[in-house]
Amino acid sequence: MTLDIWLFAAVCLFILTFCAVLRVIPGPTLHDRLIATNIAATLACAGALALTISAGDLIILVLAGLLACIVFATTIRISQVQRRETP
Amino acid sequence: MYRLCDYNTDLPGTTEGNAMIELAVDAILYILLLAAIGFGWISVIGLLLFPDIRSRAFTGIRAGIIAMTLVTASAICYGLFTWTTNGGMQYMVLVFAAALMLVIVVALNRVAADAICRNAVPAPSHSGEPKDRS
Repeated sequence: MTLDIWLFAAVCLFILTFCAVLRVIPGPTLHDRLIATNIAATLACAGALALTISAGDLIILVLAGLLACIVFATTIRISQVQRRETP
Repeated sequence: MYRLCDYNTDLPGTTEGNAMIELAVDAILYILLLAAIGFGWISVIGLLLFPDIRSRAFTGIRAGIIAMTLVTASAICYGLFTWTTNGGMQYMVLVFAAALMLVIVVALNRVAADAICRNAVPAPSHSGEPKDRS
């Protein structure tokens, strides 16, 4: 049995992404949740890159990049809006 | 005959799981990917354990970026090695896409972390009263 190291790395990174997402839910403040979201997006991108090579399909990487851009842009926007609303 | 990448092209050696990669490149890929998993673990542990948002952001985001960099480096090694041995444009597309994704993720991470930490709590002032050395 051959261990596919790319698939193994992708699975491990997605498990770590899930742990970071679990940190998003009980975050004590909004900023904690935003930081956890950033880390989850970063780890998900790394897992998607490993999964791209394991599956042999570049569309996974493209979709992950687009989703990461959306998540980071949303995070920055939420942070700015929250700053504007804070007296 | 190698096809151009059209997002449906399989990368050779991945479907069967019997990639004939040389031992040195294989070892480098194993080391880089295991190190990436380790840094990802450090990132999540830092996110869970550290008390304030600055240390959490510093450890979590830096370790996450290092993990992403290591995975990208291993993908570039794989792509370049397979491109030199097998040929095919899909490997160069993979290399460029991986490098571009790393640049995007690192840049957006820095901007988002700066914005969040600037808005979360004011930075500690270092211009306070000097310590009494007596």
